[in-house]
Amino acid sequence: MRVLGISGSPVKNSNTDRLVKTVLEATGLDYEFIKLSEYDIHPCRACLGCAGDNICKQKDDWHIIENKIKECAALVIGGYPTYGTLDSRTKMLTERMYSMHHQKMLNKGKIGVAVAVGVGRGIPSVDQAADQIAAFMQMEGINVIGKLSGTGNVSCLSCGYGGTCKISAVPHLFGQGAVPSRDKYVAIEDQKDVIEKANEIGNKIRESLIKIT
Amino acid sequence: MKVIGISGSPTKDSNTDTLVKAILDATGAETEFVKLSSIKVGPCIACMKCVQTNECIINDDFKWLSKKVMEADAIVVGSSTFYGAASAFTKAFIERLYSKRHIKLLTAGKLAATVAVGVAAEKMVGEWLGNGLRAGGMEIVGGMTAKGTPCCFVCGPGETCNYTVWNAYSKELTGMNLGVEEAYKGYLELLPDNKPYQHGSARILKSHRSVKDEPDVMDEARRLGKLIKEKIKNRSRKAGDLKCGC
Repeated sequence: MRVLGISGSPVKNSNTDRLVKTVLEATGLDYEFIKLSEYDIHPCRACLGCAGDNICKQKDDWHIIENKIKECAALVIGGYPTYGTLDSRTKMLTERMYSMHHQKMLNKGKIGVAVAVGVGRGIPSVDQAADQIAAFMQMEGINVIGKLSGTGNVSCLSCGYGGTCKISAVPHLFGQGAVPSRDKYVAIEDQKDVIEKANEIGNKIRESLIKIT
Repeated sequence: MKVIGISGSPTKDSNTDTLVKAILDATGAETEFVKLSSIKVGPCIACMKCVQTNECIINDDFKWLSKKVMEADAIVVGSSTFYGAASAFTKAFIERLYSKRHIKLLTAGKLAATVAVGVAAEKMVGEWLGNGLRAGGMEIVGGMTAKGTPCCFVCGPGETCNYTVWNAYSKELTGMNLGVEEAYKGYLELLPDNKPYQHGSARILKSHRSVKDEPDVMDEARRLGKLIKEKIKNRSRKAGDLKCGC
């Protein structure tokens, strides 16, 4: 496997998943896609047990993911913003990858792509989440060749009360008086500029890896 | 009058813990301190099952923790800073509070104070924490930050490692002056041949930084605690006063 795609979104076949997969497909290379919510992983406990040998001492599914990361030449990480910053599951991944940092920087020189999907429409949190992933990658010495933000669906569209709830995000995003309706849902595939950029980034991953090898 | 303190720092007896506890103590209220790394509160799974009941269906320690939050007049939340953002422990807890938001905004009107401890980005984390709690309709009494012990002080080879936190946050790498060297005067000395991510060269003069040694920081925690005390005393909470501050 040359390229590893990791999605932090817990929603089944979510826009985040599909955007990460679009990048992976566009590489034309051997890839694997994994979803963090299907693994049992926990936050870093700051025990520094990894400082000497770069191996985290927590016993959970991190070690499955760790092996996949070690194997890949390019890493595509997709997350989504909650309360304006990167979701806790993707944050956990970044924290656990810290075990690979000490002295050796095991991921140094790999190719990295940061992907995020959020409510968009002028709300900056999606770019914040993508920036957070990219900044993390840079700290790990990963060569970030692309950052990609897409628009997804706010939970207030589907909760059932988005038209009447006083704290609904629907009027915020769609204008005063707006209520949930089918036409407000967006699929990542319908965002041509985003898909185009995803394809470009996928191609760039392939080209970059050819240069390296 | 109840105040709950929640620390998202996983380190034992950490600076974050100390400050959250100092705030709690100064409230003079009935207090409880909870360390998220000692219990299990996982990320939100976005299942939306909490919409009608405002109860999260995930069967972990958030079940009882959320009851304690609901019973409290004020909440103090503290986080350490990893990779420029709140710890995943803290982040998961804030996400799970989302279950209390739908329609009723059940945490509205509670008082809140925030603590963020880090090496360079703790102010940002503190602001984020405040915003997260404000989105739950809470009134932020105040927030405080402090400088903590960088893990590279205690890992072992911090003086010669190329990839230390002060190098990661260096101007050469970030393009910004985050003031790490100045903030750690007396703790850390960067030597002239230090080159971020190429050649690590530093002297660690003091390997632990404790807020207990910094009277101004401890005073600020006590001031926040007293502020919570005053606010609880003076306010008459209006039932049903629904206000989202996000």
